[in-house]
Amino acid sequence: MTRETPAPMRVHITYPPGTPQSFWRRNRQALWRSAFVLAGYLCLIINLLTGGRAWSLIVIGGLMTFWVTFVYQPQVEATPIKKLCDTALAVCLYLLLLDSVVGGGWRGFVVPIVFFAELIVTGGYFLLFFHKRKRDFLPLFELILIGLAGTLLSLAGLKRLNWPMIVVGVVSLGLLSLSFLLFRRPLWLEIRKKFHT
Amino acid sequence: MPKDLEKQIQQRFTPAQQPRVREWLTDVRARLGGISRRHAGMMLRDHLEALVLLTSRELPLEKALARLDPGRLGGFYLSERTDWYPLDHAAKIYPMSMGLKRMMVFRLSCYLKKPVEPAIMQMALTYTICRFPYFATTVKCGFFWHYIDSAMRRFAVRQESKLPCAVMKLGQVSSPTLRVVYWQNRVSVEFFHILTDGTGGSVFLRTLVKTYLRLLGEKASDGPETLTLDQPPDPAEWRDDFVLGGRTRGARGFAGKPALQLRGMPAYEQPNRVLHFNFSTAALLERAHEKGVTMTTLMLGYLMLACRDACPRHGRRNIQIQLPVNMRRFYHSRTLRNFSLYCSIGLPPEAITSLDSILPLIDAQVKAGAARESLDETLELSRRLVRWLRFVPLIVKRPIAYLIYGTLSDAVFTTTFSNLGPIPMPQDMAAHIDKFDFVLGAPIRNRACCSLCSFQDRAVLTVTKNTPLTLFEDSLYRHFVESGLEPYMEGTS
Repeated sequence: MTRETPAPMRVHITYPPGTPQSFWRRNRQALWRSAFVLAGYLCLIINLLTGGRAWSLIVIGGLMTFWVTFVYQPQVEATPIKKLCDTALAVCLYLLLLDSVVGGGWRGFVVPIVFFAELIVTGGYFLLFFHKRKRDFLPLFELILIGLAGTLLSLAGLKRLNWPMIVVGVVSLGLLSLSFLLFRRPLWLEIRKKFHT
Repeated sequence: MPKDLEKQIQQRFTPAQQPRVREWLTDVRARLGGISRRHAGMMLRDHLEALVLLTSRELPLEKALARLDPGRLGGFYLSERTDWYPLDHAAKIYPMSMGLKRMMVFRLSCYLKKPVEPAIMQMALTYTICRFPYFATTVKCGFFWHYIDSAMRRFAVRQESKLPCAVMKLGQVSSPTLRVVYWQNRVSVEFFHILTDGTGGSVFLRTLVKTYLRLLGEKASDGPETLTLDQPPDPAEWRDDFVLGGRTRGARGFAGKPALQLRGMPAYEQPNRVLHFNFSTAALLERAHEKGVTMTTLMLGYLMLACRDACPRHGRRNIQIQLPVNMRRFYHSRTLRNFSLYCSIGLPPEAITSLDSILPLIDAQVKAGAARESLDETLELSRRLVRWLRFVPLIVKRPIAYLIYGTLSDAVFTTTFSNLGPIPMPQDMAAHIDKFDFVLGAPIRNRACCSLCSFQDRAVLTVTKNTPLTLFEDSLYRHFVESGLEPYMEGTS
């Protein structure tokens, strides 16, 4: 006795036709990332093969800074404050790397200047648009803490203390005090949210 | 009054009616002080469109205005909300493990007997969301954990245009964590899993449909199945009930041995396809009773057969099916947040010979795995994990969670089967509803996942596919047909 094969499945379409999106558009971030990673690896390999100064590190650092500043979009809280803070950190780290590779010993002077300039811009933006931006303050708060920690290390004699470092401390402390002075209650609520365990 | 609205009022209403409409809109606008001007403008337009629709159906203006009473908005949109909610124990992993193309989203749909009226559905959502403040939220990053923060915005109903359970964009200040879409006679709510589980989601959907039907003038009585919009939200509804439950000595349940995976290359666009197997609930129940098992066990049996046919035959791996269990069965909980855990049902492929031979084995495993003692151990483990990790900064936890989530969850299962069970509805509302369906979002590694829900005599098994290879659904369909349960098939193209 032969077994009857069931009729093939007939699916009634009950969903709208999908809107086709180009492959490039759909995967632009993944493609960018692949291109950046590929470029970084290529530079590293060429540099290792040809020898000499570690110029590939400068390229890789530059690519990463460019990535953080212009391409990367966090999935949660892709806000202007987050972008400004990420950019500030990326630029400062890149400057540290440049000084390490190229030499010159200027990092202790230039990096704090860039850092406090970024702090002033981001902090000014935060305070100016506080009611709209108060929920995005965590990246700025982290930046302020980094600034304060850096200054404290300098004061403790673990790092060179110079006027840019003092300005970093003053700006960090000033921003923190001003924020609490002007907006104590909403800021406490935000801190409770951000640091809940 | 914005110019475009003024123009609409002049075009759509008689000079005698216009002052009353303006007065009503002014009242509405006075209640939207907490949201941005753009969103307030859109909400005013929503109100006017709904009013136009109701009056075009021969409803007297005063009655239409009464249905769209601005008082229904309460103070929800009036001033800035400061409520926020820590994520429940189950939800903590979801934002940490999401990526550009992976997000734990699920969808619940209600098929009405008539096409959806978008303007009325929009108003229904505007009113319903006020009763569910913890759903009117957006995801935020904390230093140690993510949390959900109140979002002051208009929550939109849109026509469906994307694949079900598509990734949500959460980057903006008040990006919503749920999505309401309609298509023909279907209204669907897609939830990011951090908000709720299937049970909580179904309460929201039912309440939304009740509000919609009432706005249309249909009779929809209150009942335990839905929430009443007039009542204030109860804190028990957003409580993290993972803290409930007896403390057990043992704590286990997450890790396991890697399972067999279905054949097929993962599709670039996920989910690749969504298929609905429509059955008669009575026929399924009859078959389950015939075999002396529950409907869940019966379905697991069919899924095991289909997995066996669609899995490669090598190695010593088992076919493992993840089975979520609603913890509300064991604990008195009114939470609408996540409160479910899962157990694992596994069989070696060579042991899967026929439905009758595997059903007793599956039944025993379901009884053992879905027992309270066993789930309490998983509950305890989840509590301990959260306690151990509470002071680890998110910046450290997130990349680790992203990497291991696929290993701890998907890799140890071949597929998932989530049975939401029967969806209850008051009798008068049921008359307007055709069926419900429940769609799980695309898994990370698994090639398919399955879900089931039923409403009256319509049971819908949904398969979300992650691969273009049709082995699994073809086999599943064949097994159903061969056993006399020919399903009516619906789905995406």
